[in-house]
Amino acid sequence: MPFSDGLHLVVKKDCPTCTLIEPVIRDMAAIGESLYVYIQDDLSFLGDLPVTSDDRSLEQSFHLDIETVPTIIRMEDGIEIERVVGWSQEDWQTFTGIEDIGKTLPPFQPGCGALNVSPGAEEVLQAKFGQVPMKSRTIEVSGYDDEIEQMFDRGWSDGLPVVPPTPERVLRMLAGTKRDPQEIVGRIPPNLTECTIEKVAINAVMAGCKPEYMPVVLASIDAALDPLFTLHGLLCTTCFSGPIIIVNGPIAKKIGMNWGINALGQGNRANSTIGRALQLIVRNVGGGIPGEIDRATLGNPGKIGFCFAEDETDPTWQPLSEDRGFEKGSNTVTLFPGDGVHGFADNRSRTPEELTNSFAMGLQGCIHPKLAEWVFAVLVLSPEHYATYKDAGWTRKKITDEIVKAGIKPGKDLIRGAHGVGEGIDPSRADEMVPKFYEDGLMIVRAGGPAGLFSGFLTSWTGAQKKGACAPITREIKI
Amino acid sequence: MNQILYDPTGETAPTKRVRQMPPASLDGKTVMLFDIGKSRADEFLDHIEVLLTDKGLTVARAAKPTNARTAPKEVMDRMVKEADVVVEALSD
Repeated sequence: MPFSDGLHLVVKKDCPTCTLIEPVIRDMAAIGESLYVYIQDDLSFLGDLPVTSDDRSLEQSFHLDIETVPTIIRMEDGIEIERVVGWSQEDWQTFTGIEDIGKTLPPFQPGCGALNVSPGAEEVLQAKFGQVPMKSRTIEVSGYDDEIEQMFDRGWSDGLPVVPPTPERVLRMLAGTKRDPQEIVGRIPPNLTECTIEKVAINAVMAGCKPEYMPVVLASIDAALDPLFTLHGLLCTTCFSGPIIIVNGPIAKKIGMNWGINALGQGNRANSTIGRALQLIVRNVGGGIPGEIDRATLGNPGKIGFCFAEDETDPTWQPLSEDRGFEKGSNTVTLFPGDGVHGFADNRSRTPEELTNSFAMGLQGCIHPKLAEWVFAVLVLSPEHYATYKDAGWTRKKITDEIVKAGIKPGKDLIRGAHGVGEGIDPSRADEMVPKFYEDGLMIVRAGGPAGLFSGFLTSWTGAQKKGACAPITREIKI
Repeated sequence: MNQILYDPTGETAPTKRVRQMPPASLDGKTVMLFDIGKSRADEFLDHIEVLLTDKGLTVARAAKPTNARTAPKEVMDRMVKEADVVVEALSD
């Protein structure tokens, strides 16, 4: 925006430094040099001067890139030559060339924060007066309409109200990543639509994310688009499942995620909205809509969004990220194609061997007690159950191996028709000893509140029944 | 005051394509039975193949390696090349 040659001064009444220099401003206005004074708040301050302009909209302040008031800028040929911030008698004297300027005032007094850089103002002003990097179609909702209802009507919601993706909110969300808004993160199934960082930000706003969640959301999309994650199959399956996001690393604490009490439940913003953002992207960008291509017989409430962090506070526990090949302290997401929480209680087992047998019995129920090598699973190991293993010095690897070993069953008990149940494995395996899971089919994540001998199982979708057809995927979160 | 919202969708307009009419007769046509990889789909399609063959039709078969993923391009290409009619269905 072009500014006239001369001096441009931005002030507000609610600034002791601005009011301190009021006599200086009045003297300068009387001298006759081209002076333009912009008032950010109250026009009773200097409003009587003919050189004063009302800048309560903050448009001029935005274009002049003001951070502190008072700020005085010299423009020549439409270009800024020099600026002085705050009050310094020496600097103002040099700047204006007026020998005695403000000689009765204190020699120095710092300024105050300008209103245009108040928290939240920057993006509002950027959207209103500046250039925005967004290229998505805009939709104007009448002031008489309810924008929440409009978004329901347009099919943008997962069934819960979504946050309106206004320009200022999307700009704030984009500040959560350094990546170019127009960078394409990949093609989202089922429609294989190109998805930009901008579209991610819009859907993250709608999900209720904060900008600092963006790196986690982006890493989740990256993992979901790995062909081995089979997102297309997962979103259209008749099974219960959806993408479950497990977060590791310092970022979990930094963005306030929950790995403790009610870790798999409601009540934590990051847990609740990161998974939701991914599912909204699948819906809105990819076109994965329940009842259309999403053919889930029952689904599960976690398909709104399912995300939690692993508890890494116990140094005896090797985090999932390290187990999956990442360096200690890495920030990662691990995506698991799974269903809802299958609760497990064991209040009586006191040795690791007893507890291992108990877990193996419980895990046998994943998808069906007589189906083996059909699914993989996550055991969400609670602190009290882990204590039994920890006291005995069992590591993640030992716990995993022993549970898998304890889950190997005689094929004759699992074949179709055995025990009066039609479902089961192929009768040709009657004489084999059959494991519940393929190799690497059991993943353990530590989470949960300090009290309660309860752990949880998450079962994968049945796309896992063909060995190697799909797998959990881990990606580094790039901040 | 009116509110501006950004469109969260892919903003893709579906391409309308004219649906190919089914042939008036299957005489001399090759019917491709496409196994999408769900369990027991092969058993079901075996029966269908017998029924169609008994009617004197030429039957070909194609299959996805797994129901977990979309069909590989080479499978799609082979069906386009070899089949006049494709029977594909969701199971469960």
